[in-house]
Amino acid sequence: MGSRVRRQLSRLLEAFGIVTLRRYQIAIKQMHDAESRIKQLEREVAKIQVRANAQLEQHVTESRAQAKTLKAETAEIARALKVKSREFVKQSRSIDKLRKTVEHANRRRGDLDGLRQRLIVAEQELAAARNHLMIVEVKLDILEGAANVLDARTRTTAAQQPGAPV
Amino acid sequence: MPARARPQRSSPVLPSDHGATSGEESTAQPLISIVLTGRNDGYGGDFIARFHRTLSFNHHHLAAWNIAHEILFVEWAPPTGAPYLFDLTRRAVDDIDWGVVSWFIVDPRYHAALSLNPRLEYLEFLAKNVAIRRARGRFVLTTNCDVYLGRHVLDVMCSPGLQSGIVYRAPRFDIKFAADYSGLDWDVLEDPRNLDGVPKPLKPPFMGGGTGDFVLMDRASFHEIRGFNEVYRAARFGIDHNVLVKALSIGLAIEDIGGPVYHINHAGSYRLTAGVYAGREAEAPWGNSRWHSRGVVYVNPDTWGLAKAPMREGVERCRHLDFSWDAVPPLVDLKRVVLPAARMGAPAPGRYVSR
Repeated sequence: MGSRVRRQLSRLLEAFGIVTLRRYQIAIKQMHDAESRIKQLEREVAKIQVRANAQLEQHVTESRAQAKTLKAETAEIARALKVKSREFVKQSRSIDKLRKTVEHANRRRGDLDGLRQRLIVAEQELAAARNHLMIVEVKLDILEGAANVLDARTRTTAAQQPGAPV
Repeated sequence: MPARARPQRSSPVLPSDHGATSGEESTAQPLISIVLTGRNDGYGGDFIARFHRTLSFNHHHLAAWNIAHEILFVEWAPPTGAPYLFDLTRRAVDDIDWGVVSWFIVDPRYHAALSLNPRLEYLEFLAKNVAIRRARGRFVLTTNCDVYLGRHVLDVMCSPGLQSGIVYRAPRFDIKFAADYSGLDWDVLEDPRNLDGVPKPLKPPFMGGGTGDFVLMDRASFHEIRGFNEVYRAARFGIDHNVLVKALSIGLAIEDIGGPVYHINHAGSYRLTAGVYAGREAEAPWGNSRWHSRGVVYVNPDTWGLAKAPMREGVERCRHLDFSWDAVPPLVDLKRVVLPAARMGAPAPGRYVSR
C-alpha cells in the first residue's frame, strides 16, 4: 500500500475523530506543554499582580502622603492668602488715602508755587527796602553830623557877636 | 624838642591838581606811589620814632628791590604850636633819598570845614586822597606810617606781575608791642614768636581786614573811583573797607597779593583800644564803627582830593595846601550816597551788611 493510500485513510479516520497513536501522543504532549505554560503564565500573572498591587499600594500611600502635605500647604497658603488679602485691602485703602493726599498735595503745590513766587518778590522787596533803609540811615548820619557842625559854628559865631550872652 | 621855624607863606601859589617839581625831584614816572599821612600829634605814644623807622626801612628795601617809587606824605591839619612833622623828619631821617619824597601840609581849617563829626580827630582818608590825586606812579599804594612791607610784597612789586584793574590787598601781621624795635629787621618781623595773635586771612570777595594798611591798585583805577569816600565824613572807621565795596561795584577785581605787611602794635592802636568804646561807639575818635560801610558806596565830586586847594611851594619840596572854601565840597551832598551795583559773581547790594 502506497503512502498515498495511507494518507487518504488517515484523512478518513480523522474525519471520524480517530488519529494515530503517535499523533495522539504528540497532541497530548502539546496539551501538557500548553497547560504547563498556562500554569507558568498564571504564576507570572499572579506575581505581576502581587507586584502591581504592591506598587499600587505604595503609590496610593505616597499619594496619600503627598495629598496630606499638599493639603497642609494649601491650607497654609490659604491662610497666607487670607492674610495677604486683608493686607491688600488695607494697602488699597492706604493707597486710596495716599492718592487723595497726593491729589490734595498737587492742588496745594499750585498754591505753594504761587506762595513761593510771592516769597521771592517779598524777599526782593525786603532787600530793596533794606538797601533804601541803609541809604537813609547813612544820609541821616550825614545830616545829623552837618546839623551838629552848623550848630557849633552858629554858636561860635553868635558868641562872638557884640552883646552876646556870656 | 625845639622846632624849626615853619616855612614862610610867601611862595607863589602853584596849580593845585599836580605839584610842581623842584630841581631835585625825579621826573621819570615811578612804578609805585606810596601814600602816607600823619602829623606831629604824638599818636600812639612814639609816632614819630615809629614812622621814621618804617620810612627808612621801606625806602631802603624798595631801593634794594630796585622798585622805582615815590613817597607822598600828607601832613593833615598839623596841630598849632607844634613843629611840622616834615621838619622833624627831614632833620632826623637823613639816610633816604629825599628826591622821591613829596610832602603836603594841609591847612587845619580843612579838617574843621570837612568834618561831620567833632569827635573825629583825623580825616585819614581825605588826607590820603590828597596824595592819591597827586600821585604820579603807575600804581598807588595807600598804607600807614607804621606798616612794614613784607618781602613777598616787594617781590610782587618788582616783578612785572602787577596788573591794572586789580585791587591788591595784603594781610596785616601784628607784631607784639615792645619797648625797643630800633634794630628791626626781617628776622624780627618774620619770627612767628613775635606775632601778636594768629593773623586773620583775607576772605573774598572783599579781602577786607586792616584795609587801611594796604590798598594797592593802578592809578587810573584809583582815580576812576575817585579815591576814598569823601561824602560820608562822620567816621574814619570803615572808610577803608568802603573803598573795596566801591571797587568791586565798578568791576575791579580784589586779590590777595600773597604775602603780609607787618604792623607793630602800639598804645592807642585800634586793635588794642577798640574795646574801650564798647557800647558807646559814637563817642570813639574814629566815629561810629557800625555805619553801613559795606552796604553803600559814594560818588565823590570832581574836586576830590582837595583838587581846588591852592598849593604853595615851601622849602625843600614841601608843599602847603592853603585853605580855600572853593576846595571844600558841600557839607551835605546826599545824592552822592548810592547803592553799589551788583555784578556777576559779586555779592548783591546789601547782602554783606553786618547785622
